[in-house]
Amino acid sequence: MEKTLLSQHLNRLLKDKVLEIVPFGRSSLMTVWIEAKSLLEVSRILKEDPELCLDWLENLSVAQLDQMFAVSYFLRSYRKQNSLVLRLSAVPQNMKSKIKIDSIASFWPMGRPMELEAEDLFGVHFEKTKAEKLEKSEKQKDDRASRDGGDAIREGEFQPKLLPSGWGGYPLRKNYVFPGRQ
Amino acid sequence: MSETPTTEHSTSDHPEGNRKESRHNTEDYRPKDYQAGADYLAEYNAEFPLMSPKTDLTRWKIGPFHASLPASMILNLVLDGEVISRCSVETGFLHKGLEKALELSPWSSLVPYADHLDPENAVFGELVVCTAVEEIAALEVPLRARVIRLILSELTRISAHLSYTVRLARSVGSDTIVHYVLRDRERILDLFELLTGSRFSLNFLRFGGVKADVTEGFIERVLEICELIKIRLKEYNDIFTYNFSFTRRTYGVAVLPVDMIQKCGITGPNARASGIILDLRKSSPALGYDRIDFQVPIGRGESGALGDIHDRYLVRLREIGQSIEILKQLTEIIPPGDFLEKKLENDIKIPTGEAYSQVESPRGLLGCHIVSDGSGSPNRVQFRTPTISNLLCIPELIPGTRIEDLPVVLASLDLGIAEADR
Repeated sequence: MEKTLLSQHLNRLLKDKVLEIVPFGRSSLMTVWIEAKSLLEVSRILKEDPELCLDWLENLSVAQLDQMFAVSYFLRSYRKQNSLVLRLSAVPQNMKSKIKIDSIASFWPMGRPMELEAEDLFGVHFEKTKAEKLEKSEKQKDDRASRDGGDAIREGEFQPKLLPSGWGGYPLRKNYVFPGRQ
Repeated sequence: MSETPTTEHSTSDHPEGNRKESRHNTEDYRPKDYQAGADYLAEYNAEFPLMSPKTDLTRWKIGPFHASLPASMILNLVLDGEVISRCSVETGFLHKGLEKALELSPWSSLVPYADHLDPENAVFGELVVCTAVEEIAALEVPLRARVIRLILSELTRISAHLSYTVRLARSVGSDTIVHYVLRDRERILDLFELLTGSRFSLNFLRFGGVKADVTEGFIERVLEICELIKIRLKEYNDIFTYNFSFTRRTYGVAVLPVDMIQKCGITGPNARASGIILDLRKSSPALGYDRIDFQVPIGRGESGALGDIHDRYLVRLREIGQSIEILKQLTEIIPPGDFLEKKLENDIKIPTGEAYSQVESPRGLLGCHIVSDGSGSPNRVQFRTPTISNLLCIPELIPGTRIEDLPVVLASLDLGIAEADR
């Protein structure tokens, strides 16, 4: 979809949920800024809209700019030539606390490993929806790994564990101090 | 190596005699506290009896280092006899903090670091970083440098697919083809050495071009090796591709359906083997392939099951053939001129901005998001690696396959753990 048409279509579709639509760097992509609280609603609309059909989360990237963390979702369509960057910002209470953002894994399952990586490295906790939590708790009843406790992961899952459990701090934050360099 | 087989029934409280009597009644001999595999146990598959449960469920934990694994990872398997019924994957053992290292380095150090994203396909790590930085800084790449980059990319693609053939052949226990393929791959590494001085970590690309012009006789040797590999492809087919013992292990095994590919975001040859035409070389003219005439091979389902291990292997073999065609055309169109726009100093500064670049690496879509705040080093460098998606499909793909097929299935997915863990 052409840039101007895409912009008009998004404004019509998302209405007051869009904060701003700006070009992404020098590229032909558009960045759609939204508020963190409307992420799930916007995700649902973008995925289900027949004209956009953004059914592929190609990439999830987190970047820290001063105190603010920008979470970018690079969305694409398998069937159409549409793509855009959905972006939101979040500020932690202090530089050691976690940030909480809704998980979009129910719309784009391919995003879950990227969310887990960001959680390890940036301390951005992507919260699952109530339905997903319920499903997880039901599965955990049967899961021997979770019954035994410890770090064992749930069956049927892929989980990147980039840091040992109990690692202090979030290495990709700008205020991170390397062990032994205090 | 750590294999810790334990049986679920060892913890159950039913008497042995009771189990014998109710051999065909799955409800009775199932442990009281076990519910997870209830659906699985309830389904008896008359057509494929091996797929139906009939023995005790056993748990195996394989890894992080094991001969059957393509790289360091942990597989938690639940086995029903010789059939895998459930599986989970854990990675992260090769995490080297590459993205943090890139943030702490000056811009000029990005290229040598990017080599280590995926050591086997070093050029693509360099290429994706250079493309992103050039977009932020609006640097023009001379046409000659673009062609040299493409030549290196296609040579790397052939080398990567040959390595894939070696890993797949080893997993099925075919030793002969391994020596044949490694012999030919050496010739490509010789070419890298001739051009860059290195065989693996090339450190050859620069922002705005390449480090040096092609050396004397390089183009002629590229053509010579193209002809050689073309002949060898027929040899591989004779020895390996349609060998009965290989086809028996790969026909119809671990079929990747289209919906699983779309759910996990799988790209590259794995997706194309299942019939999805998705190749950035065709869809993104900015990569420079728009003047080249070539085809994108996709799976044809010759074994009767589209997207099985044999299709994934064949697509890569055909891609080698197409890369040869691309290389031949590139050697014809390589123009005279500069190979570098301007030599950038060591303390270069890239303006404030951001870019997201994508290249078609041998494993799939490789992306790189770079954010610059105008300082001497990048604010953020993030990679989107194709292996993450390939790993994501394993817990869904593996259940139902036999334990002896596990190394073949893992090898067929072309997992690059170095780039997944970064």
